[in-house]
Parts: sequence; structure tokens; C-alpha cells
Amino acid sequence: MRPGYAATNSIFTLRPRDRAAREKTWRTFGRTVNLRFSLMNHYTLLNALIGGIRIGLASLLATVLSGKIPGISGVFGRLLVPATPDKTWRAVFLLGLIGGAALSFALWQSAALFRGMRPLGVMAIAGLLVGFGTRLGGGCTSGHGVCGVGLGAKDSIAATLIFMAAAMVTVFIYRRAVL
Amino acid sequence: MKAGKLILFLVAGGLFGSGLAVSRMTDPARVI
Repeated sequence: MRPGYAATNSIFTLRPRDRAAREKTWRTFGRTVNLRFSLMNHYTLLNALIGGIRIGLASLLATVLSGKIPGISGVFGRLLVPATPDKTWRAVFLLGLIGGAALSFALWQSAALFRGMRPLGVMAIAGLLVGFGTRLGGGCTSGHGVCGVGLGAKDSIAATLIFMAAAMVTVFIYRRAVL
Repeated sequence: MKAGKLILFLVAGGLFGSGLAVSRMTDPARVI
């Protein structure tokens, strides 16, 4: 088990059924396999499936309503520009985004509430790089990755492939250098 | 902008946020 996981689980009260799922083990070919921490199991697949459907529906709804690609970095970034005319829906959308995540965590205990796990300075530098990159590339994971790829836009497909590859290389190096 | 449309934007944002939380993409211990 990675150190961060123990910290994640210890501060929240789990329902008995979640606790049972977390502690359940299978004995297969003489080996005990912990379902919770196996690479991919039904538990994480269900979370990914339901989460992905919600994100897709949200993107579709926001696109229809605004007539624009709802990239989160763009929605937030243009909210900070004084000349932006349509600030109201952007603020309401972001309010819903934060509220929806908080509500999900309250109602669905296998949902994950974001908590910073790095020093504030590191988080600030990482955020700055992400913000710079998304403005330079004209979109983020939601704008390019969800909507752009879904629409078949070539620049979005290229951007998504590049930033996903960059993220994989970063994690690969980080795990070997720091963890 | 009409109130009904703003409520739908709130719903869209809520769906997006809940999707991120439920899929565990907001859990740094899992992602990194």
C-alpha cells in the first residue's frame, strides 16, 4: 500500500459495506489478492464508468447551453478577464462544479475529495505550469480531451495525445525519483 | 440570462464536479 492511501482512508468514516469491500480478499492460486488495491477491479471500473458518464453529460449540456466548448480552464480564465461579457453563467457553472464534487463526496463515500498532498509552493508552481500550458495550447483536459476529441477536432486529438504522454513521462520519472 | 438557463448551468457544473469526484480523479493519492 502506498503511504498516501492510508492517510486518505483514515480521516473519513466508511460505511460498513465500503469497509467490507476494502478489506475483502480473494485467495486465487494460493495467493491472497486484495480487491481494493488490485490494479483494476469492478469497484474502480464502476466509479470510472459513472464518473465518465456524468462528465460527458455535463459537457454536452454546457455546450448546448453556451454554444461554446466548456473547457474548465477557459471558463475560469475568462472569468478573470474584465472585458468578458458572459461572466454570470461561467460563475454559476464553476459554483456547480465545486458544489457537485462536495455533494458527491457527502452522498457517495467512495468518491474522493481533493486534498493537497504536496507543499503549497510545489502546488503553486504546478498550477502555474498547468495554467500556462492550457492557455498556450488553447484548452485543457476537459476542453481538448473530452469535448475536442469527442468532436473529432485534429488539434484537440494532437494536444490530448501530447499532454497525456507528457503526464505519463512525468509520473514515470517522479515515481522513480521521489517515491 | 434567464434563471432557468442559469439553473441548467449549475446542474451541468454539478454533474461535472460529481463526475470528477466519483471517478476518483480528484484523489491525489490515487492519481499520482
